[in-house]
Amino acid sequence: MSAPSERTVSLRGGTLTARVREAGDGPPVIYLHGAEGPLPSWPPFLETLDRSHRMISPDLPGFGGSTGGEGINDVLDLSVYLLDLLDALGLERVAIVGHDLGGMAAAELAAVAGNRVASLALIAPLGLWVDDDPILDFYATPRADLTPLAWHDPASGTATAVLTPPQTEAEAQIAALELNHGLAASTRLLWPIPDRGLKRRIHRIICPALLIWGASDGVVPPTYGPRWKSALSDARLEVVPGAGHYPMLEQPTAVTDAITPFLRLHGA
Amino acid sequence: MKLHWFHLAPWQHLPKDFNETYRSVWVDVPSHLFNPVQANHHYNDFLDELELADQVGFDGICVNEHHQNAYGLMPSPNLMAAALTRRTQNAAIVVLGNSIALYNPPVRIAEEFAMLDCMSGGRLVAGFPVGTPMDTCFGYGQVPATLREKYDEGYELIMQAWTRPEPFTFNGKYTQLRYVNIWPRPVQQPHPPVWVPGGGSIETWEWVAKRNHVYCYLSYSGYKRGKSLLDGYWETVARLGIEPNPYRAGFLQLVAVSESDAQAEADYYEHAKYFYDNCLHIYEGYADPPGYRTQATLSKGLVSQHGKAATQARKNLTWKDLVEGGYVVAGSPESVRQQLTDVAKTLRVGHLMTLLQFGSMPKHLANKNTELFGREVLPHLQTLWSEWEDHWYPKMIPTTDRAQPAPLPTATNGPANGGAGTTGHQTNGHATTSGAQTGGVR
Repeated sequence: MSAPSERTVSLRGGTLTARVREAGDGPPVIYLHGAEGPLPSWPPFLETLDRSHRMISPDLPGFGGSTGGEGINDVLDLSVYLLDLLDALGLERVAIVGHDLGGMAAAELAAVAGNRVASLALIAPLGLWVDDDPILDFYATPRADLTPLAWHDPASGTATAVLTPPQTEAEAQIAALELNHGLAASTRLLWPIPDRGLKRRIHRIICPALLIWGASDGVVPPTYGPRWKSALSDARLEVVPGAGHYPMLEQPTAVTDAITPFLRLHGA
Repeated sequence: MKLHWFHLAPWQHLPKDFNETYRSVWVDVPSHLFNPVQANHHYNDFLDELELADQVGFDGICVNEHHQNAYGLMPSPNLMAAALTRRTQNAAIVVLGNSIALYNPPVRIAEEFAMLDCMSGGRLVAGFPVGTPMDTCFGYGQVPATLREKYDEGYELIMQAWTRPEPFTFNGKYTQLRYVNIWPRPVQQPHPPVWVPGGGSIETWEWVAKRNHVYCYLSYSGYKRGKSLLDGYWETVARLGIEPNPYRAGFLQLVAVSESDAQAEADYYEHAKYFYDNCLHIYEGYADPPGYRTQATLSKGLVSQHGKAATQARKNLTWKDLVEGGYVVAGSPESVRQQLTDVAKTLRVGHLMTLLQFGSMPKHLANKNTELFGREVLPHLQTLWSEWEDHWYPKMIPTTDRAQPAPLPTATNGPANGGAGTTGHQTNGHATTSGAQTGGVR
């Protein structure tokens, strides 16, 4: 079992810092987390992927251990930030796996800097919007109501491990503040509607894309899968049964079975 | 102490089972519960009630801004304030206020407040709330994480627009203007007093104190729960080495005066209950979006004023709960005098904003409350804090120099008084024209 290393990367002459975790060797792959913030540990799907790739997981600006949230006011700010990060990491060209907000960030970057992105694996990405088929207003959904929409089986061991709050009240408060901190940063890019005009740029994405959706996703409806597929020039859609908004956590094998060969074929 | 009469303008016809049938009084309250023809009468009543407050001697009459809700029917408080400039004489017109981040560009506020100051003869108090999350983030789509920064920038722009004598350029992050040069400009120089309503964010205390404005805590949970917030503010004032002038603080309190303590319950309980059970029935998902409150405030463990816990705690209260819990200061004039003296001293507030019309209270009862308060409570409380000077009350044009509305013209056959039968043209637009031409003069 691989243990990820963790380090702080300095950006823009030391005015910003990013927390980056990584594990594995091979072609570089960036994993970008969703609006709820960095994954708390190095979950099995990343462990599987790091057997064949160098998996690099930064905290987005304003999330987790990364500073710089206050400088992000639109997706161009975020794309420029990610280019600075790739430069700081010495990565010329990468594949990106992105979930939720991370999928939106990856697609936005690929649209404006296609030379830096070899391929996209997008898991329930945000960024497109259809009035008649709204994405859940997860900011206005109390946690208790959100869980059954976000998880296919909230009672499963995987789900309860993620959803059970820490034991002590002090730890639980820290976790709640941390979640709030990340969600607050995400509002800069997703509030009030998670659409910042990607549809006007999506034609610029020319790299191969793999779309992954949980069949029971109650946050970003699976009906968005075909919309993304038709908007992209080279995309395949994989719908994962028995998974909600976190297919990579609920069905890690199905997800890595799709992503691993895709990355092997279309990695950096 | 200055005493102010505050109107929320609540919708008074929510069904009895509202808080069981519908999830929120705010943001997505169903529009079919609103009736514009009834509202015609209510707005008229609301203005009458505010005008009465001026007549009985209140120092200020207050209006405020809310959106998409059945608890406050003033999306534009400036419209109410404009109407009040004509038939009130003495009271400050306290607009609490305009939510700065919602206006694009924010010079609109500088302009409208300057208009109101001119129209009222320098009676305006300029209120600058950040605004509730329901109003700003959900109703008006503002990004929670950038709301305060946008507010700060808008505030700077407004203050400069009021005070800089020459046209200037403003290159902000949220607003860019090549030419800022507002007309009209406020009567009060350098600018009208600024009051900032806060809902419990700790940053606001320092922000307000450093800028020498008034901090107003608009709580509906009464003075007992308001104390910790005001204490926090006064501690901040002390820490900054600023003189603890009580007029730096305002506080909102529901008040119900009647002939006796028992009569107060008979008169007002159902309306207080309507207010707490229905008007504050807010879906928890709308109460506290991530980013609206800062991490500093959250880590203090402060409970959101509109959160589930606070909302639930205010429901199904008995009259005894409401009175003993400090939600409503109620009783005979003597009792209310004593209680409010305690409130003012305990919280150290120089500006007490009384809510004498609340919930479903009809006009005659609001008027009774106002008149009793004005006659038997108000004069006794106005002497409080007389050792301090109030630097935050409007500097009005003296009454003798102030413009007065002319008496309405008495047209002989114009449309204003009906004029029926004199021209035979009243059924179409021409009647107005002919009326004005032939007889629309004194």
